[in-house]
Amino acid sequence: MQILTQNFNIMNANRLSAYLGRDGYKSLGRLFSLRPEDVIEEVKKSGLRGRGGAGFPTGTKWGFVPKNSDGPVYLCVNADEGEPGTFKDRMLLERDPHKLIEGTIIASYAIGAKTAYVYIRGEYAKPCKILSAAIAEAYENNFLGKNILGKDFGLDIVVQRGAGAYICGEETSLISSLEGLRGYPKIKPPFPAIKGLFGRPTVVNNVETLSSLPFIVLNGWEPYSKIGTKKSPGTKLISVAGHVNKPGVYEIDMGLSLISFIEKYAGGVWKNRRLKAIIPGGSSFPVLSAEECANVNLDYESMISAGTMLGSGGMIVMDETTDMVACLKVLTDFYHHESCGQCSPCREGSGWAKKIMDRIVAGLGTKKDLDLLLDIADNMAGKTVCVFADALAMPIKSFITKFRAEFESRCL
Amino acid sequence: MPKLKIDGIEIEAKEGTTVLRAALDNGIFIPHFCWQTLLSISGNCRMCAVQVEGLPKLEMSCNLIAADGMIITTDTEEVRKTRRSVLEFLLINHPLDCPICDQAGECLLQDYHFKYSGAKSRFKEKKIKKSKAVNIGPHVKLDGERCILCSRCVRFCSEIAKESDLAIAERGDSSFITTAPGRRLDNPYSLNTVDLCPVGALTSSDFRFQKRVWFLKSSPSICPHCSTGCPIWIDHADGTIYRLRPRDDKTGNLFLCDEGRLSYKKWQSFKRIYFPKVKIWDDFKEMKTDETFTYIQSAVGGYAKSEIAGIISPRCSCEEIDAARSYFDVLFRSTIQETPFSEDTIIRRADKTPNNFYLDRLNIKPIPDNIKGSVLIVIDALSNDDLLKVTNLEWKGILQITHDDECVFPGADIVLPRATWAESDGTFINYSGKRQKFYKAMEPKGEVRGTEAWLRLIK
Repeated sequence: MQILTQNFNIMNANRLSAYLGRDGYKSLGRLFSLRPEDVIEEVKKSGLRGRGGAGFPTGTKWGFVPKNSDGPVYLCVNADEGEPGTFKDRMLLERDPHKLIEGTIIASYAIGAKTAYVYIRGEYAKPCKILSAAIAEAYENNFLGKNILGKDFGLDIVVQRGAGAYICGEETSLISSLEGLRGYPKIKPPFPAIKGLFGRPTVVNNVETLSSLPFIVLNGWEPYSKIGTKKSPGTKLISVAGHVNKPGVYEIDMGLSLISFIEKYAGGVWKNRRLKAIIPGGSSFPVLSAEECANVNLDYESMISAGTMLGSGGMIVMDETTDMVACLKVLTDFYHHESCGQCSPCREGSGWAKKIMDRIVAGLGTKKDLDLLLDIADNMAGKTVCVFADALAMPIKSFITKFRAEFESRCL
Repeated sequence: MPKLKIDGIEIEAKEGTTVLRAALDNGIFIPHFCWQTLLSISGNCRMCAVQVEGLPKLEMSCNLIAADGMIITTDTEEVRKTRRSVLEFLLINHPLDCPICDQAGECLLQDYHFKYSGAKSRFKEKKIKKSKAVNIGPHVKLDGERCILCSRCVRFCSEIAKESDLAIAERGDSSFITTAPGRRLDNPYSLNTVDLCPVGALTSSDFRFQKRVWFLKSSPSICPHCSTGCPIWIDHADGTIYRLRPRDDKTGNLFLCDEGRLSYKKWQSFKRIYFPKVKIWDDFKEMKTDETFTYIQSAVGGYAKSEIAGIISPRCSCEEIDAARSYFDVLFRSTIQETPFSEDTIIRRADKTPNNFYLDRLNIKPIPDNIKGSVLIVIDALSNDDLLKVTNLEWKGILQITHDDECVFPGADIVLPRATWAESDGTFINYSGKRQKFYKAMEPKGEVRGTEAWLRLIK
């Protein structure tokens, strides 16, 4: 079913006129007839889960915001899509920005926010331009600003571009960055829902999560919850890259089997080669070997039982010729470059792992180094303020344990 | 008040306190680098991990609010492994230059490694090079390689000194502490960052390479530099003060201002007087105490008590002032050192003397314009204003009890060496009326004596 991608292939999909012709902003009529707490209830019942990577139930997250707090509440739209292999939000921003604006209005209404900040990845110059133009159009037509559609609810959207740090996609460092501080994740508790942006209750939602909201509000929770599996309802964007015939962004119903996704949507592994491995949910999550891919479905639960995660849906497919050692080196280079440097294990561990990988790639590694890498990963995982350390530890562990023979063949 | 158990010991914590704080308050030590009582919680070092019963992962005790019924273990195998791994991580890029590092002996990284790990490093790669011995301000030097990026100094500057002089630049393992663009670490409290630095990254330009810390003796005292009277440690060896450090007297202040901290120099300058001096013709001649008596006799002897005017300074202790009160019938105070521009709401006060409160309370008046008498005895020093008031008179004899040639005023006939606050026991009463005892840190050298002793001798 097409919920998120329904407007991707029409002319001028980013323009308000085209969007209105496709039932755009229709959900607002029903939205304003509901009380905010009913909206939260609807979203809870729909089973929508955060599409940024963690898969936390969206309605529950909204429910953490204190009711009737005196002072502002903020919504942050996380458009800092930096996960290697992920480019789904970019498509939403470029092809259907009004859907995101509509979703932002819904979420802001539900949590009582009068200002929403869109934190957009610095490299996304074009999506930022398109989104900003769409926001201007929405202001002109009273979908944003004071008294939206004559109702007693107003919303301002502020677009803030990032400056090129992967870590700022993590919700608390996104908040730090928005506040003008160094993009360091903040220690929790307090959680953003209690003390977030400028010390006020804040909800941070992913672009895809918000873009799913207009459908839920317009059609009610039931139709949405019937798509996909029971625990992972709805549709999900998968951005597939790597050794496939048709890389790109596809919308699937949750629960689709991984192999049939590769075959039916991505056009199969390229050059008639065999599959070697897939990173299903963005580079931060464990890699699956070809054998493991056989019985996995694209939903949160199935992925977890396979020992990985659906994450952001940034899928990287690797064929039989892929050099797994080189792959892991690319990842350690990336995470070393992006570690913010706040916590000791991550700051030092990421650099150490990178240097060992450099040595292994240069042919100077030993088998002992592989065990050392595993131990470093172990000492990093779960020991830091945010989950960045885990995001490096998981690929290290999965690559080395699942492709140990290949690594050993490169060692002295 | 929540009751919790840490390592089997039942303790009661204040509402809203963290587990780390509660543990430390109850004598249970949990190692930590980045946490400091008066600074905000950063939670970056990951050293204070503890096991909480019922929770799957280790928790950082610095950010864990103590709750009723919590059962905490600080010494499980997992905790020990985490500590070992954090220490290993912190040491991989550390230069391990303890033999030439000033912090050696009082370095948390060194202490913790010996206590909690002791493991040999498994790091075989090239260490990261960073800038060393950078003058980031007038009093502080930075060694980037020794830094563990705990951010205590950065937080101190912005939160306590209210000057965001320091920042962290770059990211990941290239991160380093530096001064914010266009700034230097020159706030009036900059040297506290040296105390706060758990390693040898920030060192005091003044103390650097002067003395190994294990040769130093620490004596509790009170800072005599202004009327706040901060509790301090005098770190000294062989009768020389090497540095002053803040002392935790459990009243909430853990910091010192730079001027107070460096004020020890004025008590042991090269002009320090160690022997009595008598003016013969126009030159001072040093001599032994017993040789001085005839001169003292001829200068001040034979006059009625009402003919002898005494002047005492607010830098003197209550005990010195009391002794002077019983010795003199006519007693005034000098008005030395008022620098109103170095006052703030953090620690520093404009009154740069420690004991004006006591003189106020005793109602000892400043020197009047019509001061009269035959003999003048000055204890400590006079201000320029005081000097004008006393020098237009014909004194038969002038005697001064002071510690430094700088303080000797032009007309003095006899100068007796006075013991400083570091060389005597005493009491200061600070601006708010708080009475604070200080103790003799070291024996006076030469013929140096306390004011009480001199007054007794010349009676």
